[in-house]
Amino acid sequence: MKYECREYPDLGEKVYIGKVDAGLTCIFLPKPGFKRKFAVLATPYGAINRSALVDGEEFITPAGIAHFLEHKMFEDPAASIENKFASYGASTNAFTTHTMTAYLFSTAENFYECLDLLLDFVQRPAFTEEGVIAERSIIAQEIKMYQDQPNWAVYLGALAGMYGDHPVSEDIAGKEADLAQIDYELLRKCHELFYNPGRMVLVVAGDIDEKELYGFIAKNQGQKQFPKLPAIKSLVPRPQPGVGECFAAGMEVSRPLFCLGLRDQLARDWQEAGRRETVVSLFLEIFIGKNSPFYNRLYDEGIIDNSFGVEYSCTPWYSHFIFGGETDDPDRLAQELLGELKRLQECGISQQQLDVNLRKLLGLFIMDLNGLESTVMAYATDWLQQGDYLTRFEEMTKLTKKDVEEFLHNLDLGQSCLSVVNPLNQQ
Amino acid sequence: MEYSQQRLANGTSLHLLPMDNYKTTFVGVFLYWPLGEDAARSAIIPHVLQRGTATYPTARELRARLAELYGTQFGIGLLKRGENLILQLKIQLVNDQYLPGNTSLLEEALDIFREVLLYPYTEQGRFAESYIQGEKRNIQARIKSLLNDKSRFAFHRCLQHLCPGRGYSQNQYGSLRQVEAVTAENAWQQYQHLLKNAAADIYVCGRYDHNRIVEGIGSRLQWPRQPGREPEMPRLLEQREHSLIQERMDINQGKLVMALCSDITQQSDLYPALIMYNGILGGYPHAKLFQNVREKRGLAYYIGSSLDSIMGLQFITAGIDAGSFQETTEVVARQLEDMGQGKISKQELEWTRSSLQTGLLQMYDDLGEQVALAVDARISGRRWTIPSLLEALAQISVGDVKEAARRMHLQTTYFLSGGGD
Repeated sequence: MKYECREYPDLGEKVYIGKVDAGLTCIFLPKPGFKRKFAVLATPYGAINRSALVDGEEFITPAGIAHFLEHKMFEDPAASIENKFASYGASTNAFTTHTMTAYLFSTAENFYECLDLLLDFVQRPAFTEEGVIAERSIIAQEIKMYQDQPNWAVYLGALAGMYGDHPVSEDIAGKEADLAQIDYELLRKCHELFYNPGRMVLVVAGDIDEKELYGFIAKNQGQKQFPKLPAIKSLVPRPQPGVGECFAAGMEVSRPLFCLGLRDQLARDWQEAGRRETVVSLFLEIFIGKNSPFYNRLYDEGIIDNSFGVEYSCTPWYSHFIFGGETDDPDRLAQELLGELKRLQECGISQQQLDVNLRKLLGLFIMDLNGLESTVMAYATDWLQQGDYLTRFEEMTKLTKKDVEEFLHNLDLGQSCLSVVNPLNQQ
Repeated sequence: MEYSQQRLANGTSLHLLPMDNYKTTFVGVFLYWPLGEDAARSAIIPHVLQRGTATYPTARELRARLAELYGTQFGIGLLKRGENLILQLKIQLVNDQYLPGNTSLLEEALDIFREVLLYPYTEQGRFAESYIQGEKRNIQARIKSLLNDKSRFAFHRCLQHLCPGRGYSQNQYGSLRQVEAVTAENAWQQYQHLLKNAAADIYVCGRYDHNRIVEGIGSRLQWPRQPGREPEMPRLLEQREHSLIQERMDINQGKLVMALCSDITQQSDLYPALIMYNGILGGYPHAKLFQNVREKRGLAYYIGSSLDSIMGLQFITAGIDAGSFQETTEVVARQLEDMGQGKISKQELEWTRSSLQTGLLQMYDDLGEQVALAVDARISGRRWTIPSLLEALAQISVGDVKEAARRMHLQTTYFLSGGGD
């Protein structure tokens, strides 16, 4: 198995990248001095990937199926997967997002036993028909738990407002009614199609010898037979243009929860998406970072507090900002945000603010490298989106005022949608 | 590596721990004060300190300066540990070696730290009225927003029933009433009083040059103090008859919190046995609670147990349907009985032991965990290092775990639910 090494001397990091004959891409981040070892195995199959063309034929599945499959991969009639990891003193977890499913473990000892286990349980499903039926009620509980969380309700409200019934605005776990349509056969089929090693990436970090690691992975993969990588074309629909009505609900909260969604243009491809996310990370610091005049005015006037936050995601199928937090006056906050964006579109940004915030971003990037888990997760996510996490640093250093202003210019402020959860007993 | 300690001229203890797997340096100033009626007056202090200093009178100017220093992170924390309120001011900055040119980032960052801690922005010789009012509003909103997270809300309600009147039943921000009574004047008095009288520690962790940081802190982070005061030593709760409290709210999933008291804390030799006991009962997916309540009977979405080993308390928390309350508490009671009778399989014992060992080894990498460990030692007066815990855990037998289990007493069961049975 061949692998190459990319070095980033300024960051004090290097990364090995290799590919097994059977198809799996393996990335290794050496972390000398760490006791902890961490690995994630991920596939670009998430909640929005509900339909696809498989060898030319349409394949359509219910909402929540990627998440259901993630749960079922942990079933093993012999002993539960969690318990097997526990017997090595390790812990395991998994999660499903809109665009990926990831399985991970963290340990200090018995690393290779754990790696074997990770590759085996994700690549060799052992779940049963009875297990699938029993899982429905467990996931129904999980859906219920999320429904009780006002933060989640207000967030989904913003997504629904922006995208209507597009898969991105559905709960990742689906609805209770969807669960009944998910059965053993369908889950097996999804595993065969979407967990083929040719689609997946393994990212490992820790104080480990790379030769031994790559030899070990090659051996594990060499012992397995995989079906041919099928031709799959993901059929994620393009969202309808325009945004819908405001969303409002009443729940037991102490004061209103606020989410303002603002749609951005879809990215042509993942490369453009990654690039735009980098530009926006700088733009957000200038616009509403803690040292911006705007953030401080809203804070001083009591319109926002420390609960305020913002996220931006950009993909070929959806692309948006979500501003969120608690506020007494959601309408006012929405107006303020859109008003400031309009002002920036008209007046532009200052070079001085760009310089200060660029230094901040570079510092934060280096700080993030302290965390083993966060670096591995960022690497896996970027890789599945055809990017390379550590090259982002270099890209960041080259950002200019023109990049930010071009982005701003293309933003359509008419594409916003407000979502609010109000206290039940508000007089 | 272990901490090295030294005492600054003003009596503050300086705790240093080099961690070369980090690319950053962490510096934290911690002030310990008994959690009581004046909690709100203390809690507002770090909040108002970060609003501005003599040189950087607004938060915006302060934040812009930090951004310029390669995003140096300045943060505050309010931690309740035992019956102490710990006021924390912390910075974290990138080590110079990763930055272009020859910089003096550490010294510049410590200059800001000094300003924030010792030279706050004042009006008429005290905190600015507008900053105090703004932070009071924010803290009151924070206290009220406890209601938005039902699990935390249920936990807080359980504590109030567990030990009414004790500092421990309070949250770290104080009550709404206490916050209302805070003024620019009494907060300023409290600030002066705490700086002078509170037990104070400075923690340094991560990648740093020893001489440079000792010099940097010694020349900047000293102020006149009256040393002598120590953090509050934990006092155990009184054991009482078990009480059951049920409350209603419009929610789908019920929240169960069970509080158990014991006389085992970090001060006792049985502490490692207590950790094992908690791990076997509810610390892991392989633990008795998860296996018997969730996996075998599908009664809960989540269930587990955790310790407050400063106070000798254990909490069992679960998310369940309202109709499952009876059955769930019965299954939990059976697990507690089994623990007390030493009905623990070899597998349960060994898996828990190795999971705990992994957890401890991983703490070596984690700056936050290392600081937490040192703070616990400061409060309990007994220092459990990672190696000493690893060694103790290796010796624990079923008999020790049984002994720990027998000293647990179920004191309060609290259940928050939506519908009827």
